[in-house]
Parts: sequence; structure tokens; C-alpha cells
Amino acid sequence: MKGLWIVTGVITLFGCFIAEAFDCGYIGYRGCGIAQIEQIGSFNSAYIEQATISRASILQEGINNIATIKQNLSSIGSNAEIFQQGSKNTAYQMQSAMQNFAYAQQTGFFNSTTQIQVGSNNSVSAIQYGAGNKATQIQLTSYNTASVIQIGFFNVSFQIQGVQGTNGNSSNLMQVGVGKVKVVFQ
Amino acid sequence: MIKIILALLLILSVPVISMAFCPPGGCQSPCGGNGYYGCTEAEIVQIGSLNQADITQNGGSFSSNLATISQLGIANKASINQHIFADHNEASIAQTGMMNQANINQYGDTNDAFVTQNGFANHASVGQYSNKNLASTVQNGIGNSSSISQGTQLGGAYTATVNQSGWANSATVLQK
Repeated sequence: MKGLWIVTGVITLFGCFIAEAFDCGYIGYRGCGIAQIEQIGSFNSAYIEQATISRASILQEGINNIATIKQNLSSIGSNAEIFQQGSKNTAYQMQSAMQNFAYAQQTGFFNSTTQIQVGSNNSVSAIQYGAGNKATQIQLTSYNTASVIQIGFFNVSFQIQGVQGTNGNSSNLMQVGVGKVKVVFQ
Repeated sequence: MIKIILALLLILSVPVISMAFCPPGGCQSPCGGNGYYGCTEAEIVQIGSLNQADITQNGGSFSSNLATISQLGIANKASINQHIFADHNEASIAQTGMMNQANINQYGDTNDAFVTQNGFANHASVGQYSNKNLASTVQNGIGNSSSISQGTQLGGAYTATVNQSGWANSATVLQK
């Protein structure tokens, strides 16, 4: 009876520890580093580099801002998010592992998003509102998902997935407006 | 069995009774990181220009230190080091003015670091190379820069937050 109570207590404490430590990550990967940068203004730059299971977020409001998130090889199951409002903003997201998720949202004019994922089972998504925006998504290897939504005028989108011998990739591109250009290469 | 229950009730009632007799704000000084109380406090306040402040706290096991630097002026330098078995520390730097520099180094576990800068061309640097760290930087102005580096190859439960408002500011966060 006493042993049962001890075992129950240990399990309860272990469960509390797990619940506290595992509070972020993607698709079940929990316990990670968190980095968040928020910049209000113009001509700002933000850079986050992570080499762990992690979650990165950059929020910028203004013009001529640059946001970069780089998540390295050991960052399996990580999230990278960039939100930019204004004009002539640039967003870079690079992930080189498995089951990562990258999301970029830009509102304004002449913004640019570049998302690169090297690995399999990754997901990338970009949404742009405005005019003269450009979205580029590059995914190498297999079983990746890419999606772009552009609403406005004179927007351009490029989606490149895989190299020779890869399979299981899917892309989704939706453009609403005039003067749009889309290129999908698989 | 009744004796055991009474003993447990007595043990549990001790913290409640002690809390009831504490004055508002607590019985102990509010220092130390993440709820660790009972610590050594160091505070430097400088008003003027071209000043330099430095706090070094080498804690032993189970130590908790609190360091605070406040500077108002131009081209001031602040530095807080909490190294060598520094367990549960907290460091804070607040600067207002131009061309100020803030540095915090914490090589321990369960540390906190906070930097606030208002003005122009200020630079904040925070280095935390262990587990369970937290670093937060707030900068308001023009041409400010913030750098936070956390963790080792063994990982950690680090969290970094940077908030900047103004023009031509830059922020860098490295977690490994």
C-alpha cells in the first residue's frame, strides 16, 4: 500500500514536470526555446537564430524593415512566424530539419517574403495583402506542403519544390487581383 | 492514523499562519529570480555622463543575488556579471540617454535579465549560457541595438523577448 502511494506520487510529480516543460513546439514536439522580437518603426532589422526545438516570432510595423529567422538542423518541429505591416519590408525564413512550420504575413506595398526549407515533412505558408508584393517558397526533398495567398495587384509568387527523385510534395497558390504572376515548379 | 492526520494538518498550517502575520509585501525582501528569496542585493544609480558601473556577484550553491543598475546621461557603461555557481540570480539595467551600453552576463541556472533603454544609439547585450534563463530587452529611440545569446550545445529552457520602438533599430537573438 505504501509503495503504491509512492509510485502514484512520483508519477504525479513527473506529469507536472512534463506539463510545465512541454509548452511549445509543433505537432507534438514540446519543450523548446522561445524567441520573440517586436519592432515598431522603420529601417529596423530583426534576426533570430535557433538550434533547438523552438518557436520564433517577429513582428514589425513600418517601412524598410528586415526580419530573418534561421532554424538549424537540430530544430525539429519548430515554428517560425513573421508578421510585417507597411511597405518595402523583407522577410526571410530558413529551416533545415523535419516537421517544421513557417508562416509569413505581410500587409502593404512592395513587400518580399522568402521561405526556404531543407528537409522533409515541412509546411510553409505565406499571406500577402497589397500591391507589388513577392513571395518565394523553396522546399527541397519530399512530403512538404507549400501555400501562398496573395490579395491585391501586381503580385508575384514563386513556388519551387523538390529536386529530381523527390515525391509527396503539394503546393497551393491563390491570387486575387490583377497583374498577377505565378510560377510553380515541382 | 488520527495522530498522523493531525500531524499533517499541523505541518500544513504552519505556512498559512506565518503568512497571516507577514506585513503587506511579504516577510522577506522581494529579490532573487523565479521566486527564490533571501539574497544579496546590489544597486548602482548614476546620473550624468561618461559614467561606468560594474557589479560582479559570484554566488555559491543555493545563492540568490539581485543586481540593479540605473543610469541617466550620455555615453554611460553598465555591466553586471553573475558567474561561477550563480544559481538563482536576477539582473536589471535601465538607461536613459545617448550612446549608452548595457551588458549582463549570467553563467548559471535559473537566471533572469532585464534591460530597458530609452534614447539614441544605445546598445544592450545579454549572455546566458545555461538552462532555464529568461532575457528581456526594451528599447525606445533611434539607432539602438540589442543582442541576446542563450544556451549551450546541451540546450536549455530559455526565453528571449525584444521590444523596440523607433527607427533604425536592430535586434539579434541566438539560441542554441
